Amino acid sequence: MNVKTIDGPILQVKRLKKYFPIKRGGFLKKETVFVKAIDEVSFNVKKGETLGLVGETGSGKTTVGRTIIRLYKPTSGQIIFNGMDITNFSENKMQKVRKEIQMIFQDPYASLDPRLTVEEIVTEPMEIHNLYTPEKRRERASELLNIIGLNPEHLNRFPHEFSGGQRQRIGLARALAVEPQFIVCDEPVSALDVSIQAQIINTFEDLQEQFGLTYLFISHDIAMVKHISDNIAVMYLGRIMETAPSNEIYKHPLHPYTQALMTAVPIPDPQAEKKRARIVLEGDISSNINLPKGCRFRPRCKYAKKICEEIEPKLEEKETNHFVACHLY
Amino acid sequence: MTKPILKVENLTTQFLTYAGIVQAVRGISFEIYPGEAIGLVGESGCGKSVTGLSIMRLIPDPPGKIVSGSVYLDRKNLLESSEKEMRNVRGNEISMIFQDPMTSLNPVFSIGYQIMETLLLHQEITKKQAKEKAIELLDMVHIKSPEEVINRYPHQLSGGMRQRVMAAIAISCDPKIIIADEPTTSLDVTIQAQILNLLNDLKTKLNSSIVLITHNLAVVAGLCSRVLVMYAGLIMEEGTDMQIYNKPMHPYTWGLMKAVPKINEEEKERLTTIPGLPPDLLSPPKGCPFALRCDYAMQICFQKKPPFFEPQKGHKIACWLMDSRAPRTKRSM
Repeated sequence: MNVKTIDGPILQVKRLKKYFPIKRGGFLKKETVFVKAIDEVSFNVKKGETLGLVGETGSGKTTVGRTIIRLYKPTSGQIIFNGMDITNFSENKMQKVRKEIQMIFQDPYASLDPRLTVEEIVTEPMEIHNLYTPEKRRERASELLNIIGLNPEHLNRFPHEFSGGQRQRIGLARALAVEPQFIVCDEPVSALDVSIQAQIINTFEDLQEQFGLTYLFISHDIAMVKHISDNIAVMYLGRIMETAPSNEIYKHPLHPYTQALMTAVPIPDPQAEKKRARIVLEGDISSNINLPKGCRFRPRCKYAKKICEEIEPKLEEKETNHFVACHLY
Repeated sequence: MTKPILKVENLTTQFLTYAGIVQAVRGISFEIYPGEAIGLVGESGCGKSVTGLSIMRLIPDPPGKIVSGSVYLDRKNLLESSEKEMRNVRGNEISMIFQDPMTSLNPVFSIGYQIMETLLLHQEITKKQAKEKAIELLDMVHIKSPEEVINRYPHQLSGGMRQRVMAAIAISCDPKIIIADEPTTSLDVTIQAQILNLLNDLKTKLNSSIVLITHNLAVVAGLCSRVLVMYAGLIMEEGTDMQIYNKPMHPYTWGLMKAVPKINEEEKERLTTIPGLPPDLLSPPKGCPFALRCDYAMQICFQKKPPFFEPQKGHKIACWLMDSRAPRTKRSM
């Protein structure tokens, strides 16, 4: 591993915005409105650690993942990977960066080409990035299957012959094929059964230890994110509300939204569960086309004050390594 | 002891497919008592949803078929009832909340119409009364401004609100039993908490029994007082919430418990996995279906299906380890 970069962040995201335009209205009254999927998001990820990104549906967590590897073009802001500003890289230059940043998708049934064999799926990234000779690629493919816990004899099979968990392993092998430093994992275990989830999560942890990988782990399963992450960022309507080390954010959540989120997660223990004081949030997430003025969580917040209606709070460090965007602190 | 309100005996449901007969539910028996909530827990393909659908006689036939068993609601065997009698039972005595609130409401009818439909079918009331009742029901499931919502269509509501509407329909005729099939799986945690609170409320208010079908052991913990753990079409362990969560006895239940990270864990512990995959239900193994993945499997586990052992009242375990001849294993969680 490159010792030089160990301390600095491998990925820096600064004031990132991604707006999606939608055209509304008829012929005469045409107007374009914007869905503010990400609205000024900033965070750092250190090498070898895992940042968990949690939030409800529509909070923009998947968009963050996809914008980082430039599957979406950011509206504004900066993405700095390994010291390079990749925000405006051309497709050609981006190709090289993608050797270092790979992605694992949510749906193991849709993210593998059904007409390719496992060998073709796993060697394709190496071909694209011109790594190794064809024989070496095949060798490496069976090596990769070994690493992720599949039998190398499966190389000639097609995706439909595998279960969901096995397919997710193939997706993992494909991501590892080019020896990336950074993997964006977008809900990688959500579609799997609990006993299979544990297998995949343990594989993730082993690989991180073995290859010094850095993960951005996106999920709505807060207990799972807390388990795998070093730090957690909580998103709400396109903005990060709070970030802190994962134990800290569970034990001392500062933001009212995080507090509600943490108590909403059920604990598999009837005694603890029936005694627990749960903060139940009223209502649903607001629309991210017409964001509420001031703090975007205000309509659901029981502590909302006058200032919350007027000024959007900034993400500030209130305790060591604990950042929160709330006027209460 | 009160009499059970629903008694399922030796229920066996199969699906005829081109590949062969899928033995989805393989002879399970359990009881539901008035006013209690039971959790039916298991991984996908374990037969928990098929059990729910079989009770309601909603298994599509063909390819599905309830091969044997009985489901007694009071004294009536639902499996021998006619389709007409069943229509009286569904929605009226037993109702169901389905997993996907996005697809289980009809998109072309208004919310009000869909609630009133059930009421008009089962109760002798006028349309006007039905409308009033519909508004009352929406209010009961904590929907704000119900007078407006009854004129809306499903696409105008969020997932959480649709699931509330489903719950309103389910409770519209004061059913004795509500079967909730993964009611919170597609919802966010904050909305999940709202729905679970609602189910708990309804249970106390209406004194209905609830069957909560889910793969999430944590969801069951807050609501249910009795838990059935299913695997490969069979019940592996049955007991009160305390028995199942504090003193689980079946290796499969141990595995399930340790495979999910707890949000309140202090130190990061490595997740314990259950190796391998569930068995193929086209040809389920002869002995215990979990034997192949079980760390404690003995010779007999592969040869003979274990009976239920009941070391404590109400705590039943289908595992040969409970037999007095089995070696003492360290049964730790």
